[in-house]
Amino acid sequence: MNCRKVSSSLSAYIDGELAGVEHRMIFDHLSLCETCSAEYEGLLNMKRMVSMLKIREPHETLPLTIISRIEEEQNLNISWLQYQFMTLREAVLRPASPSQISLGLSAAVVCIALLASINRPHEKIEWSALHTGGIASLDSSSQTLAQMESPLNLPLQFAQPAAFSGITYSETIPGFQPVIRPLQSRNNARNPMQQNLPNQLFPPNR
Amino acid sequence: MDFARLFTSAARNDKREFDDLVHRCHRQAYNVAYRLTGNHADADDLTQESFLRAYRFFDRYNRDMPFENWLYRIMSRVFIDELRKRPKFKTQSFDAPYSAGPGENDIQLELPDSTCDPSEIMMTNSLDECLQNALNELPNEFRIAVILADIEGLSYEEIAETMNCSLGTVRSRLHRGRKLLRQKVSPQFRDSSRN
Repeated sequence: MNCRKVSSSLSAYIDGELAGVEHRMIFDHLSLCETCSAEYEGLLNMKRMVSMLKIREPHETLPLTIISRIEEEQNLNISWLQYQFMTLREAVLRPASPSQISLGLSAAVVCIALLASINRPHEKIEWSALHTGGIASLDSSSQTLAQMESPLNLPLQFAQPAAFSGITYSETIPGFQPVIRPLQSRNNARNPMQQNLPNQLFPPNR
Repeated sequence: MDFARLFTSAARNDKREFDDLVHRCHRQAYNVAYRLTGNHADADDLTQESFLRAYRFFDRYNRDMPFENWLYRIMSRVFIDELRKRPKFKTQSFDAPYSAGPGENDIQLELPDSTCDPSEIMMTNSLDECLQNALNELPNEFRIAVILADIEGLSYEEIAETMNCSLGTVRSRLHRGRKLLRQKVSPQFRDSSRN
């Protein structure tokens, strides 16, 4: 081990931070090399001097000053957080009054009824076709009507106003769209059902 | 469940624990702060600011690490940050020759150092001041490493953890710091202190 290598490891040697083999090699080198030995003495002396420095005492009020500063800061933080929690509690965690509960239940019942009606397309409807001059009763579904009205898979047009399409409803079921017919010109829309529906349902005018 | 009460209760426990730590560690922390800054006013500010920051991030404190070491890590960062914020002055090393201008010979500065005169040291017991002056002249990283190793007695591993650097860096900083310190302390003083 050369002097340069030993010199760079002297502090770690003094602090006992070297592995056994390296420590031993430096120990052996120091017993032979005066230059390195002098440097070692100097560094060791420096370490001793620094470690023997007087302990400086703080002012007696230092811990109280620190704690009061922390409390000041903590009070600011807590007041802000408390405000957030209070707002949250007011908005979410507040117990509901009986009137609020009844209102909520009513709204839930209405929603459930609406959903149930949407999912029940098979309803008996009664509708009048002015062009047939009578009232026809159908127990059908929108799918059946769509098939009846658009047998050639023509593009479908959704319900027009009843007066325009020549059909009036005596009853309307939510979600049920009985007037689905092939696209056609306004002039030809006079008797659309007569062209497509079976004759037994719409007997021709005599 | 009352979250506000839960929160305030946890905060109260943390606060109580931290108050104990302040009472237990403030002397030691102040001593390190003094050696870092070199005067009482700055040491006081540095200690307070370090404890305040420690409290702000107390929820991140890993209990496996001694609190003092964690505090020293914060302190060394505060110390370096605060030094960076201070106005910078042009410094002139006493060791380097002063340039008198073009065509003029450089001037070697010589200032009497009364505090490092051996007889006066013996009389006024200013060993402390002499060493502190030398410490003040060390680069920050070297100073922190020397103080943590020689005053606080931390191992290289602990210093590396505190300074957030490798073991090799700690070894190098300590060695160079001690060598610089030795150069700055007058030879007479070194000889007198050896005996």
